Amino acid sequence: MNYIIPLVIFTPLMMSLFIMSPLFSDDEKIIRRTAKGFSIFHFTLMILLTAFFNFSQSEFTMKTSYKWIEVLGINANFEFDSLSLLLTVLTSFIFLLSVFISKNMIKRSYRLYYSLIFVLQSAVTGVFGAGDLFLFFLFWELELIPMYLLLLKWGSGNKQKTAMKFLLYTFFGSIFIIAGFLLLYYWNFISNGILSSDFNNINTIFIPDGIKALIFVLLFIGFGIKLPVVPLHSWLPDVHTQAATPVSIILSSILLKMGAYGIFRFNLQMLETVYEILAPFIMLLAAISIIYAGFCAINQKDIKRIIAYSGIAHMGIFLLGISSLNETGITGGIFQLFSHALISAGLFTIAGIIYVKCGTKNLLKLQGLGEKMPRLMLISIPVIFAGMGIPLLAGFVAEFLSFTGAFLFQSEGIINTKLITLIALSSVIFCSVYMLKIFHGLFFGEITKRLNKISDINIPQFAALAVIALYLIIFGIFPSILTNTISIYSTVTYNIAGVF
Amino acid sequence: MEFFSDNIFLILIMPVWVCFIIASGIFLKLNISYKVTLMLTLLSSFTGLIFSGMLLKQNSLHTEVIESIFPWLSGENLNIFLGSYIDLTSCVFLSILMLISFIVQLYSYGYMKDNKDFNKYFIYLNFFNFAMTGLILSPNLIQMYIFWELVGAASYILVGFFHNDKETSKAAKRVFIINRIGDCAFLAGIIIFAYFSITYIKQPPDTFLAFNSIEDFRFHLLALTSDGFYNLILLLFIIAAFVKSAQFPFNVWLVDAMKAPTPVSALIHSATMVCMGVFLIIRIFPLLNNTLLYIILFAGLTTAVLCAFIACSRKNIKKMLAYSTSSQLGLIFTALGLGAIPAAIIYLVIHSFTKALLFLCSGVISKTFKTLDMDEMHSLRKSDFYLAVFWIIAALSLSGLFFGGFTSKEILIKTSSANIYVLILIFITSFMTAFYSFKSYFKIFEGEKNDILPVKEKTMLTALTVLSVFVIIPGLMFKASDFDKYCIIAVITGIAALFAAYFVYKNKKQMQGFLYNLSFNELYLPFVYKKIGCIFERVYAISDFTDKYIIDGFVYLIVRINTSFSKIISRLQNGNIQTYIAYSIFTAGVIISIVTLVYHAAAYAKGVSG
Amino acid sequence: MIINITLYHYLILALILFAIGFTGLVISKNLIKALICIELIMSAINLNFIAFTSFKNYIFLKGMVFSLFITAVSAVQSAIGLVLIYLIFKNRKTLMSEEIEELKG
Repeated sequence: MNYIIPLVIFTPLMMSLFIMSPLFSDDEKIIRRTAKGFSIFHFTLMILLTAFFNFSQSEFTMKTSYKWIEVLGINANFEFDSLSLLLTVLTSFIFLLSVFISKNMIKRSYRLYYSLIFVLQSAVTGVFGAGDLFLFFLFWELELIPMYLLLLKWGSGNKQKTAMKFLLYTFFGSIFIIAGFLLLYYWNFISNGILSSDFNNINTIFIPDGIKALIFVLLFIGFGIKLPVVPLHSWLPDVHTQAATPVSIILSSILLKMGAYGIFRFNLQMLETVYEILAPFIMLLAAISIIYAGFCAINQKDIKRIIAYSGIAHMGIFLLGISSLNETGITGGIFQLFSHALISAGLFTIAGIIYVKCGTKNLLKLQGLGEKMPRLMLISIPVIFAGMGIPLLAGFVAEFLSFTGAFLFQSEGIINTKLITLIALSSVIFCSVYMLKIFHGLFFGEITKRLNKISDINIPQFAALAVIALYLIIFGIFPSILTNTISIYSTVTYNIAGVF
Repeated sequence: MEFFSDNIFLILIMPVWVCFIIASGIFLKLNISYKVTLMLTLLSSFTGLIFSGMLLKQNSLHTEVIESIFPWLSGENLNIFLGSYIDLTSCVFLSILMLISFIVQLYSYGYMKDNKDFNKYFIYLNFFNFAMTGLILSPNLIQMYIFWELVGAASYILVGFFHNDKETSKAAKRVFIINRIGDCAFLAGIIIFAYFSITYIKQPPDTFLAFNSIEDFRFHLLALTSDGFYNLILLLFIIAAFVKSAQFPFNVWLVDAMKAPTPVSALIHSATMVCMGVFLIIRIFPLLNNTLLYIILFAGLTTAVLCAFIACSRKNIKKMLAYSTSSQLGLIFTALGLGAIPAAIIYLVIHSFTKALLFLCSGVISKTFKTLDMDEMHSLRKSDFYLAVFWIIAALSLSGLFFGGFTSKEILIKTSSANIYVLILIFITSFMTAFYSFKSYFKIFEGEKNDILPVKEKTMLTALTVLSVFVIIPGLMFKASDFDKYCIIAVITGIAALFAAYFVYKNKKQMQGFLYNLSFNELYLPFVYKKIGCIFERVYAISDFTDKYIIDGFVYLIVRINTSFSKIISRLQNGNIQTYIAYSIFTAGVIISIVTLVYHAAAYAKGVSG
Repeated sequence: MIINITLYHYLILALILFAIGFTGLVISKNLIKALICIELIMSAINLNFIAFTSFKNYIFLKGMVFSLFITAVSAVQSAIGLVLIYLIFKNRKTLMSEEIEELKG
């Protein structure tokens, strides 16, 4: 059963090569159908994998290993544990969604587009499934190129500048990550005498405290650029605004979760002792993220930019949750990953549909669409409410658990984390301001003459949004489905020997 | 009969089923007849009515039944169950909800018959029913918060029902955001309580933050924190209650909520949702100490007086009724602040019926005159006698002169008779209440001309009749032996206000003066709120500016530094080969001399030491 | 004065010649001047080798042979250099090295 992992990771890559090859037909319909069929196949594969998976332990329970660079001790280890598997299922689902949505929104160079999407899927699945430091880094870098090309070719606005900004900014983060990894690798050699970059060997490394803190900071900066933590977030709004909608969905639902996964796996699980010392500062950063991004979001006029800033705020809630280092907060943080992925997928889909139908994303020019598009208005109500944190929808569970967990954190330093959590709680109010700004700006009011000929959404688009809304409602009413599998991560799972 | 308390979740689920049926009907484009929708909805309300009636009958012995039905979220620290908590308070509130819901749904058929969004309206009404039922039946604070927010969301959807109008959409946004402020305070309070419960108190699994064990909190919290902190924590809950019940600093949303269809105003914003603040205070009553009770008393009295004052000068019927609701709820909070829970609940019940009657009448009036501005109304009594009767019944009850309101007012006055200042303010409020009730009666119903076409709608009239019966009946429950001097003063105040209203109407004077201006401009509160809103907008603009120019600017600064540095260095490449030759030879010479020097120095050092 | 001409005198002469040639090569704006200076450099190198050969006490034929090589190479090089300069002149109509800066930036 374990050999399925490389299958899951590499089949999209093979699919993309197949699509690009001259053997494949040039007909638009066939390309789109093949892509959709493959996404469904991949998603089914992931569901089957979940059925065979043992969710009750927090260590890696599905492993495969191939020899790669023997001399340096780098092997191609593929490992899944509960979090990786759930994130991979989420990835598969979101890619399925965006492939289906691409029908109306991508109108040229389909072959290149679908092959880039599949390379991206391969890369992201590889990040989640990697069990070796350098394999992780390989897949991490691999996702930059298709993303850059997707931004460059199918974007809008000043795409060259934005695509280059995305590439260079994220690549700059990767420098910090590779520095951290090399330090880990080097210290593994020094303390254990063998060359190895396996995840499982990292808990046996002894690293002196200063170096451990340095590795922590390096990795945090590197992953913090990807999950945007506030000082390092400025690539996100421009990229989201100017990317095509399916690309925006993938970026905000999956790529941000890669950064979150990195922080969780390395900073939280492997470098836990440093995290315990630095947790109040990280909570402060997270609270600043939440409030600052909320304020910025309220001032925007472009729908996608508001959604981008809301993504930064929600990831701030994730960071606040896991920094609490107790089971409630960590469960809340990880739940937030899934709930935010669904919410931002839904929101970007709505924005994309509006952009395709009305030709503009500017809230100043759009109003009163509720008259012409009652179906869209109906199905966007659960998505908008979930984004605001209304209970019985997934967003509330995540926020409630994260904030409760953060409040339970006992801090001994000068930073009063309880006060910070309560101040960050006011994001509940600001979140509703900008979410309602989107909702009212789109659907309420009198329709302008220019928009009078807009037609309502058709059944496939409605079905896509309905699936997202259904998941949000299900996870809101029965959160135990997810939390029972997540909450096995209590604080101490990976611990590097050599306590402070 | 255990059946009713065991199966209470049935009345929780039924409205959801009806919602689904209607929604699938709309989606599959089956044209569900309006009568069918009405019947389904009435069925669910009627079931609820039966259940709550039976439970009320059972519960006269003050028994409590708690059931945890659904394990919602469990973890190492938290163990949250959803279930039901049936005691006298929840039975009473449930009965009011079901009764008024039934009547309003019947009325809505007549009111919304010509609207094409009839089915959508009933979906939202059923959803509201579901959320309110869940709220009233909550056994712990977390389920209460869940349904608290859902009720707020339902209220928002219903207020924004006519979404094509720009003013309505702005009003709906304001309603929701101000409600959110209360929700934020509520959530903060819950999290703080959860912290104490998890870390220090360690309750048994089924009862996380449950209401029947909430007295333990008082003891433990006072032992763990100082008095001031304890008051602050409970103040969060009190603020949440004030926001929901539209008390003084937060009463602006209730006026905005009047953009909703009139039956919705009757149901939500007079009789059920705004009573939830009172419900919360009753549930956490064992935790309140004297300071907090005093705060509630003070805030309640302030609201009562100020809102009654503003209501006197309103021209729009529904806005007047909105301020009236705030004011009466202020009186209820006064009763709570004095510790008299039964008095508060009785007043609440009777006020719900009265206010709902007033709102439903105003719905008929708005259909007759096609406007809500009282200046354009006149002499309705000559065309529609029954409506005048209903309004008189309601006005008499609201001002505490006769029928149900008399009973409740006397009970209120009796409980506050110990404190002379409270009593005086209650009398002032009663005066103003009676004043605006009767002034509106005279304005709308009296006059000479006889040219109004009355609206005769069977369902609406039936609803009004049933409701007025419920307003009249409590009046018969007053015991003559309870009559004392304060009651006489109250009755005299009411009658004096009636004469004052008649006097003002007869002379048709345009009221002027400082007090009138103050009242007319709503105490300049909206102006203050606008200023606060502008400050916040400034903050948002500043953070956006920071993001675009300072943080992003920092990134572009680094790019600029890089580019200019590379421009400087690239001047070395000037295309002239001779300069390249010079550079290379020069560098070669430097390297050779350095290497030679180092080699000789090392050799010399070696020679010296070796 | 009677000064013994030692090796160093020849080396310094070669150095001076080299320096003059190098300076001229780098500074001169006219390409033909640069070519002439390259010749100067070549002859300075030649002088260097011959000086080393003649001040040895034994017959050191390798140095003499190498200086013959250098002479031959220098002759060939000036021929090719002249051809290149002629082609540049035909293409660019100028022989000023300041105006030939295609590789700039």
